Amino acid sequence: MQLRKLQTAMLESIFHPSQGEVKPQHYISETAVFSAEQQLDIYRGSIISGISGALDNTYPVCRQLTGGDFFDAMAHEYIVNTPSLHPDLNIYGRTLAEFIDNFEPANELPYLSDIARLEWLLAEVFSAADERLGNLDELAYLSEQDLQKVIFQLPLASRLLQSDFPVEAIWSMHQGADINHDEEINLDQGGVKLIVWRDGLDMKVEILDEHQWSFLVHIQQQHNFSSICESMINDFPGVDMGHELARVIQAGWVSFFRSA
Amino acid sequence: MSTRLQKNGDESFIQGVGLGLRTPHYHFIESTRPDVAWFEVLIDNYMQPGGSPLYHLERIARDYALTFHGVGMSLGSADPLNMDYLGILKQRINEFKPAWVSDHLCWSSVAGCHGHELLPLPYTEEAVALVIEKIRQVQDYLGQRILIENVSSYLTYTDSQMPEWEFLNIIACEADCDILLDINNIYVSSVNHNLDAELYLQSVPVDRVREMHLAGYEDAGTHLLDTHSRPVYDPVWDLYRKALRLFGTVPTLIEWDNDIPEFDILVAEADKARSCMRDLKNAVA
Ligand SMILES: [Fe+2]
Repeated sequence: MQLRKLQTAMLESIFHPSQGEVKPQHYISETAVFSAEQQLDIYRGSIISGISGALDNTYPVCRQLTGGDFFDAMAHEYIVNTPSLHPDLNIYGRTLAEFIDNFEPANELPYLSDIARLEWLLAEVFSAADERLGNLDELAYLSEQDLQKVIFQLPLASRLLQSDFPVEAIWSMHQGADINHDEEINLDQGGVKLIVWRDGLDMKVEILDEHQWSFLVHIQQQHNFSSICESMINDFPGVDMGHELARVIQAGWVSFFRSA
Repeated sequence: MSTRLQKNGDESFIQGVGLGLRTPHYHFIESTRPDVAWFEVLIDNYMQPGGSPLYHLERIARDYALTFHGVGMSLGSADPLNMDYLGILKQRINEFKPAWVSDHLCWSSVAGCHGHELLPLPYTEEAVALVIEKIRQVQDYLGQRILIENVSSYLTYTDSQMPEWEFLNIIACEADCDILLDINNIYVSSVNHNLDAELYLQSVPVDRVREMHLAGYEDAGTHLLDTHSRPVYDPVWDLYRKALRLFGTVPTLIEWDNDIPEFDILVAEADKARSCMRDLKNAVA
């Protein structure tokens, strides 16, 4: 059998056992101990559990929330429907949140997909590029006119997330060694706006107020400072933009600026 | 201890028994700087651009010689090489200057889909030609020889026309690459397929073996599984001693990837391997 045909049939059989025209007995020899299918089973087991292990690493809180058996079953469904397209297993699972949104058995946990979104962003930020110290010191030397034209940058190791659920509270309850599984999640706390970022090597999830969120979203959209001011003064009459700028810089949520 | 600059890229620093570098041991290694001959880096875990993985690798690389070990080349795949992957690998080679780079004689992806498993190849002329071509391309691109490692296997293809050792032999000689001989994998495959492990060893070209691997398997009753989750077992030590007699005191690495123990357990395994090397030297003397 041609190598490409064999390899394609084998991966197909591993992820979709009942599908595919070329059956394992066409390319695997039966032994005294194992049928062709049983030999392939060994690989199916190790492949699924290997990829599943990567999801466990990336989504530990989702796993705690659903319980291990539920998570494993869900991961299995996800894996057979979502081929890994990159040799780096560490970046598998980006679309799990969307999968959960359409995975009926998970409907009882309406916040689960947003927890998955949060955990994915944490994984991205964890190994995002390091940054040299920014040029923010130079802001002080700009004229008021030049400051208006400035376009700020969020740190490379940062992501913004908005949820209708108190995902930061839920996530925090599942950090550390002594996790209290009995603690009730109070969904009445309502939604949150968050920044997930890395401070040196420390992973941080912090809640943003409306002003901070609005400011950072504008930065993400690459608006210059003048249009950010205009838009925010319109949305939040009386807002002190000098103060807001100082706050986001002090927090470490702006890394660079460039003059447009 | 010499500085990393002196060790950069110099394979003469890779001697004796090294250990596989694993995340749970970063802190211990950085804070106590244990006496370890070298560390082998699972380079696929350092492909992302920043953060903790590269931070720790940089710190450890200051004090220890490194070798790179990959699982992502998929040298036996019918697909073309993944140049994005090789590009990052090359970048890491430039940054860390490992003494050498190894990957496996296997396939792990096809049609762009990855199984993230070291799947064996059918031992056919077609596979031989394909892998030789791929290894040549990789070596040309990286500007250096690579090592290819024999994998454990749990299945036999109907198409195979030669024993595994012959497959390994032809490919290594024709592609002009070196061999990382995994003694545990030879043992596991020899039990699973009822093969003569010693004949395997005797068939490997002596001058191409630059490194050996030792690890622990799990006995699944009907077959052995190469899990890297246990100490090295006695029959593998026996086979290792025979390999030392054939290949000399080739640099040897202890691999442990699942249920990773305290660092001193790895050190004890390395001590055992070292004493096998010593025994051989004494016997020769
Ligand atoms: Fe190995």
